[in-house]
Amino acid sequence: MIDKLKLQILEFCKAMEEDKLVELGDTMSVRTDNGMLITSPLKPMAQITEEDIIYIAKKDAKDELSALHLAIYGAREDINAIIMNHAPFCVGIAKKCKKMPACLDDMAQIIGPTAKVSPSYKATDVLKTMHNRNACLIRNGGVIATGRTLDEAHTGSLVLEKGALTYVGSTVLGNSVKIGLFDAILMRTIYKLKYSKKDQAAKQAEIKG
Amino acid sequence: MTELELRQLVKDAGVALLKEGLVQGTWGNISVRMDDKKMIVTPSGMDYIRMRPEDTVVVDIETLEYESEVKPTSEKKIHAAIYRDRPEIGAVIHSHPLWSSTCAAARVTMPALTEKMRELVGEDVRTSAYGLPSTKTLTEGAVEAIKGRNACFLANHGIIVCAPTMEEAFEICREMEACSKLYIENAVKAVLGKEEVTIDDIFEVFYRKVK
Repeated sequence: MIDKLKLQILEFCKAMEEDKLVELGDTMSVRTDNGMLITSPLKPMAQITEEDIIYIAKKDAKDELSALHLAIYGAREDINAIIMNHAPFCVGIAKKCKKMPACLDDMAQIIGPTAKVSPSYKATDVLKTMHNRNACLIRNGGVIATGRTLDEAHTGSLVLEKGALTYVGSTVLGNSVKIGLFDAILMRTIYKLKYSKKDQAAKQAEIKG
Repeated sequence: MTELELRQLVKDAGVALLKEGLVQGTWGNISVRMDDKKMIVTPSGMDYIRMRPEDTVVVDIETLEYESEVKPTSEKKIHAAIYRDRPEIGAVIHSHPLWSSTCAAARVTMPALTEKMRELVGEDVRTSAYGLPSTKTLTEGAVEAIKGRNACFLANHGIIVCAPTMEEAFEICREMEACSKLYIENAVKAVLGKEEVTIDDIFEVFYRKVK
């Protein structure tokens, strides 16, 4: 299972680099039975090899970064994968805005009615900001996207960046129409309970083999 | 084409949508007309890489009935309505490209900015009335907005394009995306008076407006 997870991590490291969403220092991790597998922040994602993916036990955080990943897994049973990235439109919004509203229904479904901006990378700030959501932005920092699988965290990263571009672009066009709160909550609930649940479960089962 | 070839065509189109960045994850849906009565559509909530040709679903255009154990896309109503309304249409794509989705969120009517766009789509691209996914409002809004054209924006959602062939439908998706980007860049140029637009320029206008 560990070998399969490592191969999957390598696949998504490559994808994030091709999507132009990451910079040096970004990491991704996957929950395991007693801890997590996490990539080294010291190498660009495109250059990560199996040796750069290390196992860290639940109570054995090596630094603030691994402590943050473990804190998220500890507090959120629904999360099995985390991708930290620096998607350019999200970074731009995180500099000056407190939150990013969902202007598209896929963001409302995968992320929530808004993506909020955490004041820091501190675990307490991040967990509070990410309450009932799958992602958050970091003030003057990057993005934390999570999911039931790495695939979902990757899609979440893409959808969040598209949501950011949409919010910025539609504002530039002079008419940024946000998804109403009721509709956003309804769509998110249906997504979590129903849509793609089978697909995500199949992906998790494949890894557990 | 045989049914098997048409199923493969839908599968390949799904993979191509992902590879060209015209959709993310399991989002979007694709269909191809089989004959006057039936269409083949993508399944609901399954990503295009995992999807096998046999996972696509044959759906009756009139009744929306299907015999497969796999559930078809929940947006099958829009696809069927377009095939019923437009006999010349052979393929329909619903996708969520970056810049086109931005125009959809701004609910604009975008004029054809290039000659190619005019030839492929029509004089302009309208935005449909807003409706939740799979609802009658969304279906009726899309059918109304795409009348006399080969594409429309779906408010706060994405785009629908239709064409006689899958290849042409893809060409429309690409041109819609190029023109949507140009449309937004033109708005930035109008404010800043610049010839070339960077991401910093887009944010400069954005920060002014959200101040």
